[in-house]
Amino acid sequence: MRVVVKLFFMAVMISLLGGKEAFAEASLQSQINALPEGAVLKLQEGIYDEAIVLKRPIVLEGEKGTIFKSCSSKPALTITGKNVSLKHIKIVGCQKAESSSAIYLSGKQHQLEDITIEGSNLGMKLDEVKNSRFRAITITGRTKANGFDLWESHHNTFEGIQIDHVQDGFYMENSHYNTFRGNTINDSRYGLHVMFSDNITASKNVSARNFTGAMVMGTHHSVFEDNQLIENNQNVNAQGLLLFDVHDSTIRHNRISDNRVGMFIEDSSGNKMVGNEFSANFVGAQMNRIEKNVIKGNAFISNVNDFQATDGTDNTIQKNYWDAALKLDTDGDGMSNLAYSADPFFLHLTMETPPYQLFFQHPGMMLLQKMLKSPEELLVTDKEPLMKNELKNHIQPEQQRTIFWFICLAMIFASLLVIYFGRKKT
Amino acid sequence: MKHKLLKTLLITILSLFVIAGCGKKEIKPVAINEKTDKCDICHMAVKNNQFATEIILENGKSMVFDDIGCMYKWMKENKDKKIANSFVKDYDSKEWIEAETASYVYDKPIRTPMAYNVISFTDKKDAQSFIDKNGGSLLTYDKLSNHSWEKNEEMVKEMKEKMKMDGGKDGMKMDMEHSEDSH
Repeated sequence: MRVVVKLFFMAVMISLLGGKEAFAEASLQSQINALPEGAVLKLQEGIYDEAIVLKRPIVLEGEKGTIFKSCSSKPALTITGKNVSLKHIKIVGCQKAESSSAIYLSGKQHQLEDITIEGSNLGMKLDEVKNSRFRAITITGRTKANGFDLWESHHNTFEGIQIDHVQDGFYMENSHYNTFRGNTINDSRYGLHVMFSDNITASKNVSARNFTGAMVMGTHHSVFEDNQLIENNQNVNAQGLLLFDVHDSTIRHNRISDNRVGMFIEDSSGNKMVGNEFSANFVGAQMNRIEKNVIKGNAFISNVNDFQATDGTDNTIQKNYWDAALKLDTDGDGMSNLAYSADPFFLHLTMETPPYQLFFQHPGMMLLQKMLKSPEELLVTDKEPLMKNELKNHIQPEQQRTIFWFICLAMIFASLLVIYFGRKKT
Repeated sequence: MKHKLLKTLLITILSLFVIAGCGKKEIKPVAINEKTDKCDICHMAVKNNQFATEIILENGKSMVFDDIGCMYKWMKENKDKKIANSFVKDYDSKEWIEAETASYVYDKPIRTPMAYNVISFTDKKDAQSFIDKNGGSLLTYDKLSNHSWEKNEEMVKEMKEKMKMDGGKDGMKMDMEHSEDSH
């Protein structure tokens, strides 16, 4: 008898739970299809196990606990047409689903806000998306595919987006005039990956603990400013910022710290690099075959090696602060009379045989470098290095200052405790 | 008896020399390590996929590339280097094949990591069936050295023009909408 009651109870429970999900599955797409243009559909808390297609301008708004589960090969949400808004929605991927993205978008003027994507293969795939805005989105991936993947998508804005454990945080190809502001990408391969995309603006982004903070290739007229590219040092090829085939772009006021190589730049011309801080990197900046670039007012502090360079032509490199440079100011103009150059000897040597990197700053290597001096015209030289670091107060992370004061107070408190309890009581 | 033994020994040693001399040392491709390998030209990480290529020099040094276009750029820049062998991947099976024996397809819409738009096949038939399905032109290894190796920038330019025309309109419209919102 007891067994029969138990079975009956279980059957009722299953039918109740299953029934709720089945109701959502059966009705959501048809509800959406029935909506007039511009309507708002509020989704209740619950798990929606159906791949939804949004073709017309509507607003789909969830609440806390509105979850889409995507286990099929189709994206959980497919958005096409124009003016589709999506708010407060969470998408959870399945281990099984391999090929698809959590959200697939095409069309224009879409608005996506407060979206969370977890465990999906690819976060958002943007195919020919224009004039759309993406805000407050969180993507946690499975390291195999990109967070955002843009193809021929232009004039879009990405703000306040948090991405981790993906292949590339933002990957864009043939996508112009896109803006990335205040985003954070951690623990991924490349934070920002620009390929053949012009007029890109990236500001106030943080890219930390990735193989490369920002990988910028094949771009013209782009701006990278006030970004923090930090702690990108876990891979043998890691760097903060890599610029390859970059032309007429501006890189200013970025903080590039604790990377293996701070900035790597090759085959690039006509760029302006102004007021950046390169600190505590293994190599501050590495420059190969650069032409007509302006490198001015940057600070190179506490790097193991400030900079290495080969084959620079016609660059304007001046008024940077190099803390490793030998400085002498006889006329008091704040600039050293001694030029500071990067000798290409070591770089040439290690290019040919990478294991020679083991001899970095080896006394024998220094002697060879002095003996086999490279010709003047091949050197990348700062003719007027600054005597003082003028950037010192400009880029001072707030967080670090707070930690500093906290440590000070903690030490004072600890000392007082020792004095109070540790003294000899008479 | 002694002579016979000496004779056998001599023949064995001689034949060993002959075999060793005849056998050409086979150069095998080195497997790609996705974590540490990067393209020698564009510095991107090289994935173990159908676009990866490899050069092995006579001194045993190997270089990997993420796109066959990068490999040809390297060959152009390093004409003095002695190449022992070069390898590409079969588009379908992703297995290494000797570059000399492969068949190639070039077509602008083919997406490759550095937009050189060339892919490789072990079998000419497979290349031809790819062309029948998707279009493109068949290239042999010899023809590749005369290939222009231009990145698909023409397409990028065309698209930029197109985008300027309709993207500009959309942009204006959107800004107007936003200014309305803010009031």
